[in-house]
Amino acid sequence: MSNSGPPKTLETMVAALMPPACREHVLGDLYERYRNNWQYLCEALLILPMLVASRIRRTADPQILLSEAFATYLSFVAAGWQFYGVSFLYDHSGFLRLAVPAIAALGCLLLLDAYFDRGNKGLAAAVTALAITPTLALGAGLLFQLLLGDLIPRFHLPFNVLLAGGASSALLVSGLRSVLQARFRQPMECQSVDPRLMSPEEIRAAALRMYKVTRAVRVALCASIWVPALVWVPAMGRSPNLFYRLGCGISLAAWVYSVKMLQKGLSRGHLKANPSLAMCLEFCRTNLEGRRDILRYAWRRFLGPLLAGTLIVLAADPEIDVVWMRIPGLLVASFFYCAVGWFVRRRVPAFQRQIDAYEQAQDFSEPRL
Amino acid sequence: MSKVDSVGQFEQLVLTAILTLGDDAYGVTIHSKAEELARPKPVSLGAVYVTLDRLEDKRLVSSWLSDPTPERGGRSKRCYRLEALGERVLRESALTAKRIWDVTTLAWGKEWGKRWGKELG
Repeated sequence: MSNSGPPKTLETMVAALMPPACREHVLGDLYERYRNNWQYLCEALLILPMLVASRIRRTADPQILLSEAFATYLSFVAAGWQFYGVSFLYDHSGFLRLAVPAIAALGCLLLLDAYFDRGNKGLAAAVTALAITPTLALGAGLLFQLLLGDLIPRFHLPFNVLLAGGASSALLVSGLRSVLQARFRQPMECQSVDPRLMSPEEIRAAALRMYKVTRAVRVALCASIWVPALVWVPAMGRSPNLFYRLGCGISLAAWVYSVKMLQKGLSRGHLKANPSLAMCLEFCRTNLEGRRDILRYAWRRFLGPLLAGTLIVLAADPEIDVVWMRIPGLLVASFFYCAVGWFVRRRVPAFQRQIDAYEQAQDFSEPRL
Repeated sequence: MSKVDSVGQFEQLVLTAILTLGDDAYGVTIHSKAEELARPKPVSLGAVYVTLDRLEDKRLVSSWLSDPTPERGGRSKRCYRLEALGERVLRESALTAKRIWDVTTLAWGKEWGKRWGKELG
């Protein structure tokens, strides 16, 4: 191994490409392994995709990503529908064209999260995650779509659709992040910690964090109960079609029922002020049991009724004249709900393992109390 | 929660490398040790970083940044250490490997075991 290091320019270039979270030690390692410029560059370029992939794995949550994908796509579809009517979606591959900026924006979002997210909890990190990253990603997505539209006219989208879709999806993604990152990501961080290896102070901190997150989610759920009412009640009044009205009614009832079941699942366990270790462990266990049950019975309690309502609404949509044109919408809705159900079911064993760990920690901590 | 009930073969190699290196376990040394253990297969440095990240997420190892040193261009090392859970998992893996070795030696004969052991050094 040579004592001399790589040229400063080369090192700066490689440093700019590396995710900041691992830049320091990886550059040091590459410096130590330096033999010649070519070897240094090749090694850095070979490592880089793996480092980025690893960062994406650490920073991305499949459930949040799926929600963001749905919100982004829906925003562009809604914008297209709003400006040019339903024919815009079905004629000239409208659904496909609208998916391009959404996919590009999501790709950018993944990359930006991998580069910007260092696991900090400060205000600057929150602003970056909630506002800057979604805006930059959507901007990049729109730019990509504009370039693609110029190169392949088949993929061209009107600028007003892009702008409205981009702005509404940036808002939606920020909103989703502010709610879901507390709901899913924070518990994920708690879950990765084995309570059997935690000190009593760490267990108390984890329980308090879990309690605060649960309370915030319950408040958000209470607020969210009005959202579908604002959408479906006017929709019911707009159409004389009984079948369509029935679909809206079922969707609304299913939403209220789902929110109630979510509230019920999240209301398990209570944490008093200055809780003892046993109370903290008990709270964490029961809270996780509630969450596990939400996921375990997701189809029966949430997704099933919501899917039924959505399918009836889509099947009886008065704005679609040709019957076969309803099929893509029905397929997309079914696929989305099945995908959510699949992701949700995948999380159940992880929650069960965590519950078992808390049970064992309770047994273990009894002599310490 | 990350799955910690079982670890893959490469994860076992990296855990073993960290165990062997003790206080001197960081990217470059772990890579060299893992390459030595995985012989004749080559091991890429990127794969080592990815595996270290995964092991850290599973709480099998922990890491910290050391002080910057001039031989690394004034950059820090990320040092790794086995956690109690990591030691337990590695012990279980070693026991499983030992059982496989015992059974295969019994099935194919002790001569095979000696010859194979010699070939691999």
